[in-house]
Amino acid sequence: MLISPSHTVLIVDDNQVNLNLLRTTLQGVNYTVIAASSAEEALELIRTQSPDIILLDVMMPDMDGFSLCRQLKQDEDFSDIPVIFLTSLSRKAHIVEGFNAGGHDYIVKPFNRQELLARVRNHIHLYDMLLENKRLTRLSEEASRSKSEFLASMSHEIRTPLNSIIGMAEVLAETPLTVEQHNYVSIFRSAGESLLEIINDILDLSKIEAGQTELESIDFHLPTLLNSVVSILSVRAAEQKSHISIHIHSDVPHAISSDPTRLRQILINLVGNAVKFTENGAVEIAVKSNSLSTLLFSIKDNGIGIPKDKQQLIFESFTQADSLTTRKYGGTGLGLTICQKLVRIMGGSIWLESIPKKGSVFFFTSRFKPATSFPLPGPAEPAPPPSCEILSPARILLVDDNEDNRNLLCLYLRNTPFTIDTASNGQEAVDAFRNSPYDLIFMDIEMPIMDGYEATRRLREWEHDQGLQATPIIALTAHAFVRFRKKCMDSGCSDYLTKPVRKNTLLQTISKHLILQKDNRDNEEYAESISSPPPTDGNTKITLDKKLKKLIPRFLQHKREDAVRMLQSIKSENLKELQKQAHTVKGTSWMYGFKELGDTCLELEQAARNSDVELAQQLISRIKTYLETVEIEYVVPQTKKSNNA
Amino acid sequence: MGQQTRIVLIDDDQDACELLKMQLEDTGRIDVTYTTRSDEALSIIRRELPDLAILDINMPGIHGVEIGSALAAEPSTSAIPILYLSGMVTPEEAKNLGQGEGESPLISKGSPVEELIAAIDNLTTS
Repeated sequence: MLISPSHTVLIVDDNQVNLNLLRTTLQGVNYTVIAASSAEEALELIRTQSPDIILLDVMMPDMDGFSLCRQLKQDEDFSDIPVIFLTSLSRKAHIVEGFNAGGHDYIVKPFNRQELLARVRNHIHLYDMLLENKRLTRLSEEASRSKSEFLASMSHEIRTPLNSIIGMAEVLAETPLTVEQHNYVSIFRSAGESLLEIINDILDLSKIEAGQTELESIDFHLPTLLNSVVSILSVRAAEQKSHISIHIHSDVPHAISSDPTRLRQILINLVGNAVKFTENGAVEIAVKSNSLSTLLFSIKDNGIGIPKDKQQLIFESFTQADSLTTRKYGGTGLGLTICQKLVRIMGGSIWLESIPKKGSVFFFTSRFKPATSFPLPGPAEPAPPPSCEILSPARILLVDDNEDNRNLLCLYLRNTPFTIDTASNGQEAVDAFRNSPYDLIFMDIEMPIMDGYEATRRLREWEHDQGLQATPIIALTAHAFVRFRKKCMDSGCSDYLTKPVRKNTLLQTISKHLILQKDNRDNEEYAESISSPPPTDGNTKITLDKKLKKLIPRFLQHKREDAVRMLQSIKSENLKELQKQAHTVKGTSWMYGFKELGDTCLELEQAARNSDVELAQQLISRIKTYLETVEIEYVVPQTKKSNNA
Repeated sequence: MGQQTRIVLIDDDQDACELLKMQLEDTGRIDVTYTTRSDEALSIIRRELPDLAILDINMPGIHGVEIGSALAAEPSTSAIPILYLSGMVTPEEAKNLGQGEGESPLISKGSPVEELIAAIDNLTTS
C-alpha cells in the first residue's frame, strides 16, 4: 500500500526517550510526526494541526491518557481521529478501560516496531475511508436536497398556470355553449386534469425515491378507511355501471396501528384501477389476516385482465399493458409503481393474478400492529358540496399577486352572495383589513413586497391588539409539500388549499369556515344570555351533602355548557348526538343527587330517540331554567356519615 | 389503617370521576385513580394493576364492556374484579337486572353511593 506523505501522527508521551524512539520509527516510513509531552500540549496540537492518528501514553502528570481520550471523544470535531494507547500498563482492566474511554487500539510497551507500524497504517486507512464516507454522504444529502428544491419549484411553476387553465375551463363550461363547443371544453378540462395527475404522481414518486416518505404509526379503524376509499370511488364506479363491495374476514381486527394515509393511497390506486378497467361488473375488496401482524388485501375485478407476459412490466414507471390501453383508458402509468414502492416501504409485497378478458386480482400485504387505543368508526362520506342557497352573505378578501388567479377566483364566486375585494400583496391586504375587517381571507403565500406568512402574522397581531375574534385565513399555494402546509399553519392560517383550487373545494372551504365562525359567535351570545339568570319562577330547592359543596359550582358550570352543546345538536339536527349528551348528563346528575335534573335528561334522551324535536327543545329549556334557578342547601347527613365511617 | 383498596375508575365525564373519587376516598380506605380518556383505560389499568376497576358502560367510541373483556383476556389483568357503572338504567332497573354467575355487577349512576361501596367491598373481600 502506498503511504501518503501527508498523514500526520501525533505522539503524546511525557518521556523524552520514548518520544524520540517513536519519532524515528515513524519518520522512517514517511509520516509527518508531531510530538507533545503533556495532555495540554497535545490538545493544542490537535486543535491546530488536526493529526490523522494519535499515539497516546497513559501515565502522564496532570491529565492521564484515558481522560484525554474521553475528552476528545466528546468533541464532535475530533471524535473520529483514531487513538492508539501506547503504555506499559498491561493489566486486562487497563486495556478494557482504554477501549471504554474510546481508544481504537491498545499496544503494550515495549512495542514491536513492525506491529506498531502495521497497526498505525491500518487505523489511518480506516480513518481515510471514514472521512471519504462522510464526504460522500454530505454530497448526496446536498444533491438530494437540491433535487427536492428543484421538484418543489417545478411543481410550483407548473401548477400556477395550470390553475388558470383548469379553472377557466371550469368557468367556461358553465357559460352557454353549443354542443360542439362544450365538447371542446370538456376535452381541455380533462387534459388539464391528466396533466395535474401526472405532476402529482411524479412528485409522489420522487419523494418516495428520495427516501422522504416517513411512515407514520397511527391507530385507526380499518373498516372506516375502506368505506372512505369506496365512497371516493363510487361515483366513478356508478358511471361504469359497476359495483364495489368490501369483505372483511372475521379474524381481521378493526382497530389497527399502521400508516392510514399510505394505506389509503395504495387502496385508492388499486381500487381506482379496478374500477377503471371494469364495466358493468363488480369490484371486490377483501381483507384477511395472514398472521398476527400481516394483513392480506385483495382487489378483484372482472375487467379486461392483463396478459401473463405483461404482468411484471406494469409495475414499472410509465408502463401499461399496451399503448392501446393508454389511449383508451388514460392514466399516467405511475400508479402501480407508486403502490409497489409504498407497499415495500411498509414491509409488504404486491403481486397479481390475471386472466385476459376475465379480470385481475391484485394482492398486497401490509404489516400492522394492534391498536393501543380505541379508534372510533367515523363517517365515510366526504362532505357534500354546499349549495349556494345555504351560503349567507359575507365579505371576502382575496389576496394574490397573480391577476389570472384573482380573476379566476372572482369568477368562481360570482353567483354567490359574497362580496369580494382583492389585494395584490401582503401589505395591501393588511392595510385593507385594518381599514375594515373581512369575514374571511384567501391568502396567496408567495407574493412580492410582503408574503402571505408575514401578512398573516401581522393580521393576527392586529386582531389580538384590537380584541377581535380570529378571522378565517385560508392559505392558497401552488406548493404541494407538507412542510409548506405546516409553515402556513404556524404563521397563523386557519386552513390551506393547494392550487389548482376547484370551485367546489373553494365553496366548501368558505362555508365550513363561515359556519364555524357563526357557531362561535352564537355560542358566545348564548352563553351571555344564560349568564344573567332569568327570574326565579319555581322553587326548585334541593338538599345535598355538605361535602359536595366544593364540587358543585364546577358541576353546574359544566352542565350549563352541556346545555349549550345540546342546543347546538338540535340546531344541526343531530339527534343521535343529543341522545348521547342527554345520557351522560343524566348519569352525572343522578350521581350528584340532582334527581330532577337527571330525570329531565332521561325524558330528553327518550325524546331524542323518538325524534321528538319539539319536546326536546322544551326539555332543554327546562334544563336551562333549572340550572339557573336551583337552590342548594348543604347539610351534614348524620346517617351517611356513620355508614361510611 | 388497614390496607387500602386501590381502584381505577374510567368514566368520560370529569364531574362524575371527581365526585366518585371524593366519595370513595372519603371512606378512608379506598384510593381512586381515574381517567376520562377511554383510550388510556387499558394502559392505566395495566400499569396500576388495581384491586378493582370501575368502568362506565357508555362512553364515546367504546363500550365499557369492551374494556372489561380486553382486561379479562389478558393474563396480567384477568384477575382484576370489574364493576360497571351505567346511566342506562334507573336504580330500580339495575337492581332487577339479572346478573349471571361470575359476571361483573352493574350499578346505576342513580344509586346511592353506599350501594356502590357495598358492591366494592363485596368484590374485593371475597
